[in-house]
Amino acid sequence: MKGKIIRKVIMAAFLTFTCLIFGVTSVVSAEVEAGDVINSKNIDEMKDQEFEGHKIGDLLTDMVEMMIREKGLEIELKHSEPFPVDERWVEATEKYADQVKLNPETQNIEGYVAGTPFPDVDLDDPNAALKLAWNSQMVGGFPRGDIQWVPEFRFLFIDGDKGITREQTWTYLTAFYQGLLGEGRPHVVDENIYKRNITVGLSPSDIAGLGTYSIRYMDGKTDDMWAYLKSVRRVRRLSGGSWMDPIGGTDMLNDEMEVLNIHPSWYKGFEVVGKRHVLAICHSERPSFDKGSKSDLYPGIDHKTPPHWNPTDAWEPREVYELKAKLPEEHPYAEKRMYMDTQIPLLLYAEAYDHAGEMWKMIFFGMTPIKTEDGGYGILSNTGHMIDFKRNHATIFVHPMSSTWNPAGVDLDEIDVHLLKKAAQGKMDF
Amino acid sequence: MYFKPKQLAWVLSMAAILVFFSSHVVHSSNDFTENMRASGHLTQRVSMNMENPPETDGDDRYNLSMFRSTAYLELNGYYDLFDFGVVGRIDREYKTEYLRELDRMSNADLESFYDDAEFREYYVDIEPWDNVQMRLGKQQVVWGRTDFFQAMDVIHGYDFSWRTFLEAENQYLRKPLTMANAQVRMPGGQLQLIWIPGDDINSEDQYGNTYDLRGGRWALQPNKGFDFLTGGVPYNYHHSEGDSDDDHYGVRWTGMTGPVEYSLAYFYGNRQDPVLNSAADPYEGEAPQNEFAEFIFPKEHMIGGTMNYYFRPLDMVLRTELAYIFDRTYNVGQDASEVFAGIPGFDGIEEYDTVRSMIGFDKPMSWVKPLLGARKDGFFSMQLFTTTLLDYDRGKDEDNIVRLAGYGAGHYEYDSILTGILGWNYAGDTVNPQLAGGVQVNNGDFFVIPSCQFVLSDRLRLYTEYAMFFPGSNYKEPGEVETDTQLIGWFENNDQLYVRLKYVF
Repeated sequence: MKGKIIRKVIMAAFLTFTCLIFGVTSVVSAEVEAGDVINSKNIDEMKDQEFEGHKIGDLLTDMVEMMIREKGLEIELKHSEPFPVDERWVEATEKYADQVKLNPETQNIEGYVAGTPFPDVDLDDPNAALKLAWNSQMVGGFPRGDIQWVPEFRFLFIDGDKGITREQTWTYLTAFYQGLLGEGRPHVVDENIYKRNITVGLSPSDIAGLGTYSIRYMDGKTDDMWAYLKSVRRVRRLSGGSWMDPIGGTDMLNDEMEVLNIHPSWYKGFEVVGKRHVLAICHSERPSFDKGSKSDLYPGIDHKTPPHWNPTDAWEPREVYELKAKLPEEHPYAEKRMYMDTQIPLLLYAEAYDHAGEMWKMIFFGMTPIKTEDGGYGILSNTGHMIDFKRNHATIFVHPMSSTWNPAGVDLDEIDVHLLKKAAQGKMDF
Repeated sequence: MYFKPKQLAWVLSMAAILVFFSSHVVHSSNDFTENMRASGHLTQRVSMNMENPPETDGDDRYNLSMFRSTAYLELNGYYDLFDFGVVGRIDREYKTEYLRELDRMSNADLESFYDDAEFREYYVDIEPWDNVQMRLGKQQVVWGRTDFFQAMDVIHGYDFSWRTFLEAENQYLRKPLTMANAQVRMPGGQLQLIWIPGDDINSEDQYGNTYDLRGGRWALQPNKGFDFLTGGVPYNYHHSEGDSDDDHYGVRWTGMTGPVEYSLAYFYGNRQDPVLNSAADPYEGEAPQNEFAEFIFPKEHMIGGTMNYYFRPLDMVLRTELAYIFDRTYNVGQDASEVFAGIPGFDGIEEYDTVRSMIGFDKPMSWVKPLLGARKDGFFSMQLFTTTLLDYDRGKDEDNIVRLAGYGAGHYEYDSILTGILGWNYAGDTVNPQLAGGVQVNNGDFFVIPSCQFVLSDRLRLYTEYAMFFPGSNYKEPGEVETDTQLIGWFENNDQLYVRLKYVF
């Protein structure tokens, strides 16, 4: 009898608990599934629902939410998965991280060899933000590879009302001189140089043969730059001080390539807002530029529907550091917020505000993990969206998947002004 | 166009190289064409007189001086063992009412003068050894760092007959030459070796600068409507001291030393600007073929160098260039009442070692953003270009050497022109104004050229320019005997509004 009562009580309690659990969860939040789409019609309904244990509303930054509500952005959800990691990078980080020191006065790092300079950043550290910024910069070796060879990419110039108005085809080669991981190369090729880049126009003919060559230094001095001007058939040296200006006719500033393209000392500083989760495109599956297609050259972009710039790729939850850049007075932006992945120090996107506090620009990239030519891993930007809400205009970076990290046949000593001339004549191939 | 036998031999040689390599690397026509890249443009150029040239009877202000249509195609092929390039251009001009008038006056058949169809470039690139790249064929090689003018950039002549020397995109004015061009990458820099074979490999008129001597739209005031070439002063490309059949050659080293980029060069070839060989005092004893006068291009030895440096504290690039020309030739005889034929400069030729130098800087200008509403820093460039005659005897030469045959103005010992360019951008670089100008320091004559380039669409580019010349009173009226017409004065009454519409592909 006593046992029966106890059993009944236990059963009743279990049923009550079960009912409570199911009842509560059904009231509080429903779990959405991979493949579900967030759009302007259902965002209010979905904001309170969860995906992978996170409220959808918490995964949306202010600007992403605005794009969904006002700019036609539709976000297809996919389950998150970790980036593949190059073991050489892990080993280098373990081996060399302890010897890296931050000099707060110069905002420079000392003793860097390879890997991530500051793998364990304590957010209570007063220099945490600067350390994270340095982590985001020292991505040569992995995830950006020792050498990036992009034989062909396009800038699509998009008017929010009219669609694609112009297309330019370019090529670029970037080589890092710090933190290299490739076999047969020293980790540090030149202690003074961070990277060298050659970018050359391919089409249309008014930019064909127009090229630039730049050197980024480790000590924070402004870049050395040269340009090859085909219209006069000669190289001209340029000043490197205009790093806050737009690149050509694009919507991207020079300091926005891959979100943050500076020596960290060029900004007045950085601030860590905290850790959070956001939605981002980190396993881009649709080709951004399908060269062979007769129906749609750019399947990664919804370029047929206004505002013609939204990505069609799926977004996944990522844990990120939210950073704020303290910008120089003369910088066009008043505020720049950046979101950096916590697994790999990649900046996934940035949001820029003007001096009136209005949303101005959104810069985000669709990442694709790739196998490098030498058997390791790297992460490639499959697409790059630079959206200027004030101009109702965007520039999108797309390329066929012919890009390679760590191609054989590149002599780091030969990336110079002579190679620029050669490249401008179309002779850069690896 | 047609080929002379030796030109044809060059072309056939390159074709043979192409075929030879092709047979080794190309397995199907698809393989061959997949590695090709074509680009080019269709261009319509129109210019209008904004002043009335005094040589013509009527008022030609606002009359069209040019209506020129161009098709330009560039084809490049990239293969394992060789690359090639071919550049073709066809120019056709509609003879405007103004040109018909100049044609009537000069009887020069200006239409044939301006119309053109040529393979401007055709070359093969090979790398016979590691770090050695050779380009064989008709091509352009540019040395130096100077805008508008040429100091060390002496390999090619320029065709200034259809557009003034102020044309910014001077690849279209440069006269390509068939040559062997080897570039050897070495520790610390690159060595370049140039050999331009003589013997008619290049047609003779590919050498030296071409000016409008036929009395066309860019004939210098007061020569519009007068054809010098048939009027008594033809070109002679085969004077013993300036024979286009002789070889030309040069060598250049380019490198970096610390933060300084530099180059050193030597070139032996024809003088770019012609000088007048007069029967009054034939140059080196060789009389003009017509026993009166002719334009010749004497050979010169040039050594030169460039340097540039990025001066970070002021965010500016400093650049300089210097060319030393041995025994450069100048015409003499300023006083028309005393010289042969009563024309200044017809008293013969004298030689002076000459230094042509440039010092300048380029700097981004951030003030254009707040002041002009530009979206980014403007580009500002300034340079001082000076021609210095060494061993200049002020007591004698000031009253003797002429700046240009036909004009009584003397050549300054230090002839300096200060030029500047300011360019900025609007609307995502689709509207790009530019202001260029220059002043002859010696006499204050100046020119101003506001211009603007518009990107109208993915393929259409519109460029507008207004070239204005302000020589003060330093110019020559028809029939006038003067002693003060320098560079800017040659273009008096020739302000031009220029519009260029280009379809690019």
